[in-house]
Amino acid sequence: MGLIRLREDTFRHHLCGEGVVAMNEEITRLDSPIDVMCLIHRAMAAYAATVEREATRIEVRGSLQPFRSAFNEWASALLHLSEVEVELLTTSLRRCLPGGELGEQIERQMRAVAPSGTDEEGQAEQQVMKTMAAYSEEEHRELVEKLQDVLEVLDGEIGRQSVIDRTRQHLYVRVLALRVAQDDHIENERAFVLPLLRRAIGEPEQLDMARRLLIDEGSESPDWILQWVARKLGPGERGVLADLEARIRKPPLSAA
Amino acid sequence: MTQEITRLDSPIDVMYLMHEAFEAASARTEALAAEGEKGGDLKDFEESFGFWVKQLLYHATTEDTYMTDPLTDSQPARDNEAEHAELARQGGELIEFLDKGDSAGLEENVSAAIFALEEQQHKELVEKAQEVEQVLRKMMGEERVLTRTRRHLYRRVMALRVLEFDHFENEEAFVLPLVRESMTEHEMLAVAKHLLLDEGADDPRWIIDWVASELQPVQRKLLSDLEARFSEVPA
Repeated sequence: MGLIRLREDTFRHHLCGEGVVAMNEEITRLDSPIDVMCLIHRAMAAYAATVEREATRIEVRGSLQPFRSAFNEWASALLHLSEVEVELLTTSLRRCLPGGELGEQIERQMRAVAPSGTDEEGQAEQQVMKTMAAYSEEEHRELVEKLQDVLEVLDGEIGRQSVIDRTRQHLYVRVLALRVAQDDHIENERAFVLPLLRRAIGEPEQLDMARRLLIDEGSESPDWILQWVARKLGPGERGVLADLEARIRKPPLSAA
Repeated sequence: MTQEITRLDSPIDVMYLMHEAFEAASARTEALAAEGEKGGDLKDFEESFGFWVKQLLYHATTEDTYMTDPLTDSQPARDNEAEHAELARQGGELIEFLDKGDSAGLEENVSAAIFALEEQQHKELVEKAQEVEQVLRKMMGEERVLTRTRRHLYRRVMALRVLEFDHFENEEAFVLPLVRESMTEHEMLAVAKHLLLDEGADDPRWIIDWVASELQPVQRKLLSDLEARFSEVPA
């Protein structure tokens, strides 16, 4: 089969904070602690690109090892982050949605900042934002499913000495499907989930969420996610991440 | 499939040449879809894709009718037909996806999001799917909507390509040996003629001319030598 092409500089823009940050534009500050998600997203996209590139470099009759290593590095973090996000974000999101303890407050806030237009348009936008935010859990499930699709092909190769063409194709198309699902998820999270959370969750709670996303207390190396993210950031963004790290590691002020 | 074909031991071996032609057409389409992810118009992609799918559908239908239908009590033949059906289905879905235009990728998310809602909210929104989509377009911005559609398009094209690859590999490994065993030389010649010449079309040579255009000179000669034998097949 002919070469599978990979574009080195795919056309992707990412929304972060209240504005649009292009993929090649550096994040120079975090407006709220939860905006650390943008740095995490950048890392996720970078690891995905590496794996996609490795998938195109798999040679027929060659070894899968370089691909496996790259994929494991991406997948282990993606799985962990999905689990943590589902636990943290879903709980917080439910509070923001109709019927949740913050539902009414969010409604008021959204009406107050809704772009000029009719009441009906404003309500439609609120409804859509809530729909897409609620869809977040489903997206995580889809990511895990697609991750397992790749693993299925890799597991089928255990014991084989060298790669066959079919395996190479299947790996690529499944990695592509996972990358596309991740891109969609990142976009949706930034457009619909983060704005809701910024409105609903105070800074102390956001810091706590950031800590739980970046520090894996249950691991022998609790900083592995933090380091995983940092490896894919430029020097400026590593500084932004380090500033946040200092805040999340600061012990909380004890009550007087 | 990647080995260079230097002779045709039986008429049905023309299938290897046809598969090479398909590989060239689908690779071209994939490259155009990949370019499309960067933006720009899709005119060249649509043309390439349209032609690829047209060839594929004719090829699959003709194989079903003339090649595998006579192979009774044959699981590989039935599997081959099932793979044709899957190719047609995915090709058809891709065509529908393209028809939806720049927000096709968004529409998938909208449907999935609405489906994921609890029943009450689902009922309220399913009637408003278009409205939801319009709001999403406004909130996300046209550029991001287009980007999303383009990456979904590329993913779908790759999936169809890999499906085609698998199918051709299976056909070459499991079906062609059966055809060689169970058909006479003239029967195989007749199948090859049906695959390469579309007697019902305004231009019956639209397939064979395209296949020839994708081949190297050595293989093109093999094809023309085979075509010279079509006169042996009764009309």
